[in-house]
Amino acid sequence: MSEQRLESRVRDLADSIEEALRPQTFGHGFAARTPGTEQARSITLPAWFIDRCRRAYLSVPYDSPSRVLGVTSANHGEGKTSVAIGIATAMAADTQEATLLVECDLERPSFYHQFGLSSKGGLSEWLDGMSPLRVARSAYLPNLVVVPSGAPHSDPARLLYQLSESNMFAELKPRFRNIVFDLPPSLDIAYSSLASKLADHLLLVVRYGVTLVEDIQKVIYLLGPERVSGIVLNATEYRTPGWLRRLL
Amino acid sequence: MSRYVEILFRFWIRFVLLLVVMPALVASAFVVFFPSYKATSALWVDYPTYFGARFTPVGWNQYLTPAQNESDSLTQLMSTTSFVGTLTDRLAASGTVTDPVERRSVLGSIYTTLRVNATGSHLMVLSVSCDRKAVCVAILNETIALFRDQETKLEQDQADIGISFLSSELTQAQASQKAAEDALSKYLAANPTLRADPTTAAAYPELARLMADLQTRRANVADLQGSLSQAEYLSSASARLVEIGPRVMDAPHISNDGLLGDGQSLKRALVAAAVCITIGGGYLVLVTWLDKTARDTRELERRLKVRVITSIDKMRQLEHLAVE
Repeated sequence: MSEQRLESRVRDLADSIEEALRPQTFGHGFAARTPGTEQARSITLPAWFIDRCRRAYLSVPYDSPSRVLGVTSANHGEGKTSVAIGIATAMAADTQEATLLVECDLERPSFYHQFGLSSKGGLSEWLDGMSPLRVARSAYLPNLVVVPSGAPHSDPARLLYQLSESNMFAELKPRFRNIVFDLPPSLDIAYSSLASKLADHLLLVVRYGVTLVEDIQKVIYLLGPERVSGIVLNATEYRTPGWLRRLL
Repeated sequence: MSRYVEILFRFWIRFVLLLVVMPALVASAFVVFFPSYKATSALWVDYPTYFGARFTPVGWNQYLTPAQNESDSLTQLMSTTSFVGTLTDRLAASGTVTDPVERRSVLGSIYTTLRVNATGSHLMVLSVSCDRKAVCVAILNETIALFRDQETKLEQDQADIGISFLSSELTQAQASQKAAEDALSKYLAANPTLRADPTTAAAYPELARLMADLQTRRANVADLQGSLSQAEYLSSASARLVEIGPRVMDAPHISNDGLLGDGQSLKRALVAAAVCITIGGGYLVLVTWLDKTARDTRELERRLKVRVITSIDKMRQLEHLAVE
């Protein structure tokens, strides 16, 4: 019964997102025509950062027309959210196709802060059936749609199990050529393996000089080496001169 | 390798201190505070035949050159504790070395660095290294003087033994000669018709025996007197030879008078610098070994068998997720 309810809501959600993607004129604030759709504050990432993220998503060998990428890390604070946003921005800008960026870190949400959204209402509340899904749309990249995770939830594992078992993303895939999941950190969060099932390909963000190689090995073991499409070495701060690094 | 270089650049102040500044300071300190100078002296040694006599001083080997003979004697002497002790006592007595600590240091220098080498057939070179120029020169001066004294004493002792032996033999021979003379006189007194000549002796066997005995005793005394004279001559000649034989061609002097001295201080400085650099290198290895974080893309790919698809530079604070 609850599964049927979820499926009907998923269809409603897909319709709302499609509606959100139709050309419309935003005013200032949250002047959304569709209920639950609001305008995200535009995030300006440096061009070189977007370029590096572009290199990351272009390096993944996709086996279907849609690009469904999950971005994870070993621990918190390694820059996976920034990389996920950068990849989604690059995808949306490059392809001009509908791009969905979903925040799946239900314990430590940060999209509301980064996109200037209110912290109440998001994926958690929608999965709990407490509110319609909040969808935010970028002002400068209208084809980029952001789904925040909402307020921190007490039982995120259940919600993610529900999400992974639902056909939400199967429903969304035909409508979005590009889907990027900002996944929870794999070692810090127990349910991260559930979340990682949502994506076809996984990118592992590693923070230079912070992440232990041993932790990366554990993450690769947990996720499965065949699922990890590549590592993004983030926040590099080489002191060795470039010419010397090339020589070594 | 790239990890080591990265750590080197990351903590460059630390490593400049450990690998450059400290070795330079330690090496300079060694050169300035622990100098080492080398004094040398050249001696000329002649054959004993220089004096027109055929003899060899005590301990000489006729198959070696004069320089080899003298350097051999000196080397053996230098290895004795009494020689080194007397040498340091003389240095202390002359006021060159008064501090007990320096005395011990000088003693060590004598044992380890005082060298004598035969250069060619007649030239003998003495050298010593120490941390004060005056002490180096004094050591060589005293070594030469002490060597001469020791050689003279040795010769004198040897000659005294020989002369004493020959003198005692001569005394006994003279007594035997006197006894033989007395026996012959007594025989002639008992036989007044007989004379001590070979014709008479041919007819009287007892007379012939007494005359032959006396002749033998006289010859023995003459022989011993000759030997004693020769021994006395040799004694004085060889003692003189030892005294004036090794002539000082180059008086003891400091061979390298510059800041680096004989180069020993430079060697020590280089060793100290090498030790500092080794410590710095060890620290680099330790720091690199302790750093288990992800830094090098090639190392990550090698260890994890997963491609590093991109590297993103660290964003400056103002750039990071700037909001329009």
